[in-house]
Amino acid sequence: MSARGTSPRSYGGESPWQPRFERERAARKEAERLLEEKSRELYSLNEQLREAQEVLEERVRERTRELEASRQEALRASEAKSDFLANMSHEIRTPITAILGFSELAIEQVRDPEVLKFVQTIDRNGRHLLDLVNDILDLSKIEAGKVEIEELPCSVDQLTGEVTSLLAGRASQQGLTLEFEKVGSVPEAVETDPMRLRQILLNIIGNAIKFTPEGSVRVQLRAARESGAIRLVFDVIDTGVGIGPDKVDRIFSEFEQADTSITRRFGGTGLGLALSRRMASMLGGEVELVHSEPEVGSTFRVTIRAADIGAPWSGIPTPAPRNEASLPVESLPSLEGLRVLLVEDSPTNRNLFVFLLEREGIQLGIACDGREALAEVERANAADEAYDVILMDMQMPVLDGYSAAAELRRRGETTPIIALTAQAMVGDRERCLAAGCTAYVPKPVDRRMLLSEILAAVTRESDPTA
Amino acid sequence: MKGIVFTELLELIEEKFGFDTSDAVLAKAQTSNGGAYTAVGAYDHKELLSIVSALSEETGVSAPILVKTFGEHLFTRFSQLYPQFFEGVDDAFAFLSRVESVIHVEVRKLYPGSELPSFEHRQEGDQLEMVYRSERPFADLAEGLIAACCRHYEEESSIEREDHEDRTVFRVIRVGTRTP
Repeated sequence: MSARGTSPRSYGGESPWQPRFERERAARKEAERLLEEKSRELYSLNEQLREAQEVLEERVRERTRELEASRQEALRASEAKSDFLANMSHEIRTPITAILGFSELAIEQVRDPEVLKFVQTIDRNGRHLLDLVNDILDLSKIEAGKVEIEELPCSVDQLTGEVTSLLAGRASQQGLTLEFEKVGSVPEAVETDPMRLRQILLNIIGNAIKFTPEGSVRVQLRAARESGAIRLVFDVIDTGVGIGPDKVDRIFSEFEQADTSITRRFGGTGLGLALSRRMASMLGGEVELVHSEPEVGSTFRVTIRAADIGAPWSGIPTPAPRNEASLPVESLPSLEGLRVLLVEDSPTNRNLFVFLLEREGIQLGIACDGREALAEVERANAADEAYDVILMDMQMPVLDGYSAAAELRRRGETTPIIALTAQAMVGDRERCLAAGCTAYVPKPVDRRMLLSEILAAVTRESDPTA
Repeated sequence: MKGIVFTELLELIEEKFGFDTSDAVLAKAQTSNGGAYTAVGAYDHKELLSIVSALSEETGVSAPILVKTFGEHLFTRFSQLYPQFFEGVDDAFAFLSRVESVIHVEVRKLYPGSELPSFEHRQEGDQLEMVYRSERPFADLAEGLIAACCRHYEEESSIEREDHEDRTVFRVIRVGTRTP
């Protein structure tokens, strides 16, 4: 647009300033026009940008909806899976109980060395099957977020001592030395989940023993204060087969071992490390492979964060007290003449328990479900033949063990009740105790554990200060 | 107020009354920049009132008439500068009905935050009622613009004006199309 209508009259037509003035005015107007044009372009670019952003946001919302739907779907599937596994576990454990129970009895009685080998194979494979079921169960519980962490005061020394003494037999069978030492001072007690920690240590130290054909396995414990908590570090150092650098990445994956030949050579489920790592992370820590060299050995490190309960620190290891439940059966006082009511629905398991307990001279009463148990306890009490201990299976038809135990307690029955359960899952023990049971023995039942629990129950009963 | 109103007014003064008058007006008026306005700027509307009143003093023409005349001129200039607003708009009522919904929207795109007057409109047959509301007293300018719009479309109309405290109502009554 030109500088329109600027009348030359006022300048008298001849002023040299007029063309200059008009040029400047034209330039100003051109600048204004350009500016408006650029503004319009800028506006439309902004609009495009805004629209693109809206499209993008809508896409993000859509994706989020899709993802949420998939997540819900996956959660449902995962829940279904863990329900299925929990049910399967019970179904699988019941026959394993029978297999292991009878194979244990058979091992004691068979004289023919060849048959003994067969039975030992059955026993070993049965235990392997049980480990497998246990690991899968634990992992699926953790995945389903159904594992709850307990916070209990416990002695790390004692706990580690227990674990190493439990594994000492296996180590010495292989001719290995198993050592536990403290580096620096550690608190005498911390608050953590002792059951989980025990499980992790059993796993990692057990692994170290398994993969060490000769030499030693050393466990070093260190502790440090860390922002209001205590960091416990367990280094498990072995002189075993080691892990090649190309396989290090895979050892923590579920169902993976460094090498499939490992399974053939050493056995195992391939779940132990994955499980331990998950549990350690639930205890605020981790499991890592610090160092490994094929044919030289590996160092695994378990770290957990425990709550500081202000216990004193010391550097001298306290001797691990012996676990009452693991006392050898020979040293148990006689249970002869003890009156025990066995409540169990499976005929096979009933036979096994009858065999186990009657050998000890126990007088056994039998009930096949919770309702029969209630009637039998009532009858026995009325006949002045009250039972000393009740062994109660938890999963039964008609009336299950939880309800039966609760009902007995409601009626004022004080007889110790030992829960027998094949669930053997986290939180199960608590559920049994909450129902009114005195103690808990997981299936497949370990004979010595069962007998010492029975003994402990009657001892507590006769000595109220215990 | 948009700078184009100032630049167009000054050019109109130069054209109608000459540079000497425009110099005299600017000398007398209260302006923030001595009259160096640019179309893409925005300035206090009081400066425009001050220029108009100085011009009125210089020329002896009343301010309302000056403003209304300026409004007519401004419309013509708009039609030259922004022909896109006239595309596909076939008569004055159609154009006036779009002031609020199209033209002001476009102005805001280029100049966000512009303080524009509002125009409500209602058409009944050959009568269009426009209600002008503004923070500033430029109903005369609006009247000039409306009148020029009708002329632009070569329509013969009468414009009735009703001033209220908070608004001015213009009633545009179409009499017929001007025939050459």
